[in-house]
Amino acid sequence: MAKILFDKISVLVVEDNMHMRRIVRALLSGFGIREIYEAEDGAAGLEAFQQFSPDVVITDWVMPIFDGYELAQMIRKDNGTNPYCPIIMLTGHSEKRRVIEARDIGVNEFLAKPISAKSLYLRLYSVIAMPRQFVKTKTYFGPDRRRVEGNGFKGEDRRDPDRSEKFLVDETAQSRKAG
Amino acid sequence: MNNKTPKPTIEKDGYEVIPTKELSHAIGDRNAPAFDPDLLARAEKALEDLSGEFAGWMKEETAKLAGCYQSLLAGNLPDEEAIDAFYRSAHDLRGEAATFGVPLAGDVAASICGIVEASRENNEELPVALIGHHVDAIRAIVREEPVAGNDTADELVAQLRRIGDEFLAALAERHVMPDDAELSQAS
Repeated sequence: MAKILFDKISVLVVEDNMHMRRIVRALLSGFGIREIYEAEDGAAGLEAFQQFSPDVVITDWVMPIFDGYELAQMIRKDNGTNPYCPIIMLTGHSEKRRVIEARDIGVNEFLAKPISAKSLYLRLYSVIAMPRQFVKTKTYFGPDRRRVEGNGFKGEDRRDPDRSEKFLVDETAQSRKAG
Repeated sequence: MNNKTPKPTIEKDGYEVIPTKELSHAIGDRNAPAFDPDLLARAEKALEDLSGEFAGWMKEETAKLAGCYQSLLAGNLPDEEAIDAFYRSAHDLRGEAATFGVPLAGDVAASICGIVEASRENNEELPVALIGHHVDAIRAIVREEPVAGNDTADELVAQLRRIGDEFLAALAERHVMPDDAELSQAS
């Protein structure tokens, strides 16, 4: 476990809906993130990614011009900037096939709307403090999609966000008690 | 910036494994608890501070959806463009409505998304009348602001779901692919 210095990271939010951008910005600011960039569609998102080289990208899926799916593909192929940049896909899609599609293009974390402070915190913690190794094959480049042992979350449901959250809360309570 | 220069790649079973570093400049005390309730409380407070805007935003999004539906009917835009705009609007509502305190409207928007996606994937005409009922339902829900457990609103949404599911089942039946056994029988 580790403390995240949120004031040290920069985040690019790519989301075509103005209201959702304000919500995400409010949450990120609440965590203490000061360097937040915004883009309204995939094309502007790619431009901002190349210009600002953010530490984390949070992108919507369904957007005009080109969407978050295509943006993620372009980031992973963009050798000039940072193809290893953590990508969190924030989307109204919640179907399993969408999660798999996102995973298969190299998205690190999938976050289904409605968004909450806890769910966003967990995804950020995961990509910042517990990044997966990358794998490159003929057809895939992105975070290792296989299960990882010893990633901090324990138990058979360690990929379940609710269980992961409970684990983090339990660990925090225990370390506070010990300290 | 992290991860720009990962350690040399390792060849393993024909693919490369590239160790990825944590964002080290963002890691503080390694013995500190991971979960910071104060930070979370601050973020939740920030969201709560915005919540006074949610009712107005919900109305805006609903009006936008209704406008996109009218464009779809009017045929002023090329079909694909009009459907794209309508779908994006419904998809936005699907994701936002619960945050805005109107989860029932999100359920109806999700039903719209399912119908549009299935129709497009199978190259079928959009069932505009059915979609229109959904749009009307969202408008009614937002206008009446039903609280959770409102029987009329729940029943309306359940009914739309049923009709939507029937449409999807019928569409799936029309586009069912013959399996191998059927193909070999036919030959």
